[in-house]
Amino acid sequence: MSVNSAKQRSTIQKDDWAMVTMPSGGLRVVELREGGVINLGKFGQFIVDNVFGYPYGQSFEILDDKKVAPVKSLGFGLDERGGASAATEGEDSNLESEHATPVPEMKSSANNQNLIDVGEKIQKITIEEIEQMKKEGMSNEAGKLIIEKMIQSHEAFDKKTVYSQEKYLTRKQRKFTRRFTMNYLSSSALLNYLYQEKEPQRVLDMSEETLGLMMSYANVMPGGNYLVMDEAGGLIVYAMLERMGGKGSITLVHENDQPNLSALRSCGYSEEELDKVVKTINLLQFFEPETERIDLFEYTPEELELLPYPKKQQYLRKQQKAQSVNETLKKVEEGNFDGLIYVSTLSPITCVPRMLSKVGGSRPIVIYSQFKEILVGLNHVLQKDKRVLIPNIYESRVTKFQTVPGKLHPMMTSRSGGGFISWGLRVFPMDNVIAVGRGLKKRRLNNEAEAASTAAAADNTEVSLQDSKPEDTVMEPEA
Amino acid sequence: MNMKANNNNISDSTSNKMSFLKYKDTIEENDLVLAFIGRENIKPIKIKLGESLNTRYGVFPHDSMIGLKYGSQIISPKGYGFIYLLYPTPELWTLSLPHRTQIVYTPDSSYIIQRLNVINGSRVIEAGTGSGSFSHSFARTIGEEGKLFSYEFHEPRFKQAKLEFEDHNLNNFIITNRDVCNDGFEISNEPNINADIVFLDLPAPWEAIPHLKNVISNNKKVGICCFSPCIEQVVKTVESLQENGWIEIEMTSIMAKKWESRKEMVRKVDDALERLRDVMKRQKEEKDYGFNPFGKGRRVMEGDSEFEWFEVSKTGPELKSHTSYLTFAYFVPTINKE
Repeated sequence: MSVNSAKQRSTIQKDDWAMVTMPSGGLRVVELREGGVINLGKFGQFIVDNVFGYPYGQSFEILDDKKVAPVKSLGFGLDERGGASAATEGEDSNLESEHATPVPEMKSSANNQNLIDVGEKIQKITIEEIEQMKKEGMSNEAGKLIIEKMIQSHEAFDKKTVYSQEKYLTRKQRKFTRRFTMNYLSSSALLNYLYQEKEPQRVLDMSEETLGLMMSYANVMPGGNYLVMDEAGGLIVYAMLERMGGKGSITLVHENDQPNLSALRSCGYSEEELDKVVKTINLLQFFEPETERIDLFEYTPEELELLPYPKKQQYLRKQQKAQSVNETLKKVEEGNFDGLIYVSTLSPITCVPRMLSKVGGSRPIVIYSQFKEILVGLNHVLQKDKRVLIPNIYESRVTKFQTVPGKLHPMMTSRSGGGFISWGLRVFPMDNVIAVGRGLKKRRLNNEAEAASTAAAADNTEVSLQDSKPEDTVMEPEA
Repeated sequence: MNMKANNNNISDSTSNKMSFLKYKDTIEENDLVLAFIGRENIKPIKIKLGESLNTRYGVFPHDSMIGLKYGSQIISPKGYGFIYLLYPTPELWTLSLPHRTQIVYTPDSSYIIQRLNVINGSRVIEAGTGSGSFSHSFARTIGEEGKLFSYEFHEPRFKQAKLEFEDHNLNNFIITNRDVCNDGFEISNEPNINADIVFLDLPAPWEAIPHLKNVISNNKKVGICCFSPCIEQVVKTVESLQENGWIEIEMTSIMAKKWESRKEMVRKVDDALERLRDVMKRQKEEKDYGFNPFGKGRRVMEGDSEFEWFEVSKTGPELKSHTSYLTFAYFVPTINKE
């Protein structure tokens, strides 16, 4: 079965959902239906069957008649310098079409001293002519011709530096090349797609690095049994399913009558398979299971046989639903979940403390918010509550670089935001702890506690949490 | 995604051994417990009858921990000071492990795992093992269907890591004492390593990259991350990746911050004015105490209910402003159709 899983994620095959990256960097989520045609707008269209059997990650260029040929990568000049030679040195002739557009043999300049900005006049080819050429062919070959023509008609191309020429070429390639990459639809790919092509709010402004941090801090692993709120359209559940490989259980608590799990449409699981792992339950059912249990009138098998067919089917469906709801309610009542992952705009201050009793000992509590202030408020509440150890707020931000040796620098702009998480551990505080501290021999104990906590604060290495609590410390005027 | 029908809840299996690949609820003899003594002081202890844990808050006998639930708080025999008994996870282990080398911290490791799509069943190459911090995250994430191939050229570190992995019941790893830069990655007891994830934390990753072609998957996209602190290392790494046919090369770095929730007193200017008037008046009347809106001269605890407070956040005194550069790339095997 693990062999099967490896195969499934490795090779492009029919009925998969996949992510298409276009030369512009644009993303599409596509379903690979046998015999279908995928239209990438100005980047052309292709027959789906032609990409079957290649590994995910393979790039293609579009030929005439909606056929495709594999190419090494979607990268152009700047991104993939040096890569080209390595690929062609191999035994394979499939990748002959490596150079989408070789830089034409033209003169270049050592610097831009003689380059004078005259605006669009420098380009002698007109928009109408380009449009005409675009109409004449939808293959990558046609795109190449346009770029070649544009370079030839550029009056000052030879006044540019080599680097600047390459940059120009890359820019044009991103626009006119008919190429694409077919990628496996990972949770990161889906997140990037929702963020970039839909809107950041769909994923509550969550970044890839924050999603990764949440999955690690929540200790998501195959076989775990997690309690989840997911207001990112099912993205969190998607990422968890991916990591768990279908082993374990996710109990999803949702605010509305029905959960929004639209992301799972493209997860590759059938509904039956999903039902086995993902149990959904609304907030009312979660907090008031005793009143939400479904008591269905029970027919005896004989009575059931006598029912007319449609009525019998209806009854069986109802029975199945009732069973599933009641099982989930029972699961929630038993509690002892392996962690809480809370991604919701519902105020965590009002909700998380009421969910804590359902989480097992030493299991992680991970709460996401795009606003740090909300988590600050929550952590004050959790610190007082004492059932969550070391609640702190974590922020992670990636800087991406233009990765060209000799031209290595951070990108000039990048997406901002990305959200924050609060991570703590569910613990069982002792009830009599404070009583001991405040009761008998109060003064001596308090003094010792204070000494311990000041000593700890001084060397900043050891602070026993309870000792540093305001409740346990003496508060009296100095001197 | 791969789906398996079995829906086994591994949560409570008291007879099972502690392992980083699953949870258990109750502490038994020979289990590993992370004793939380303070924020910066988490101590791994192996539970043994008759032994005890010594802390500045007193002595905690192991016998008293057996039978307790993970997550329990226990009080020192002295009557004050507490510790918590925590279940080991890779993230807590990272905070408590004995350092033998610089380690990979959670903000970096979690991003690498997410971005390279390390999941249940992944086959991971890791070189070098170092202190074994990242190894635990990999092992946890790939589960029992995955396999971790870890390489360490320093023999004492290799031995130590091997003992630790066995002791922690990471049963999905093969660790090899090897200098991969010179001797490559092939191992005799596993002819098909078939890795789809590679993590190189080496002084000269560019020397190891050419050896990878024999051990990475030949039918699946392979992801790599090279972890180097210096920019000069990155340049050589990028050149080597390009020469060896890797694509989509991108260098990144992570900046992570930990924020603590704090309270800052709301000090209003009108109160300050009122206090000044009061001070002036008292100078004439020679009275000691008067209007004291901000608790001057008193020891005021943060959050004291006599005062008004802002809820604020603050980072610790020190920031990890640079760990390493993370250089990502992919290798897509060539498939000859027909």
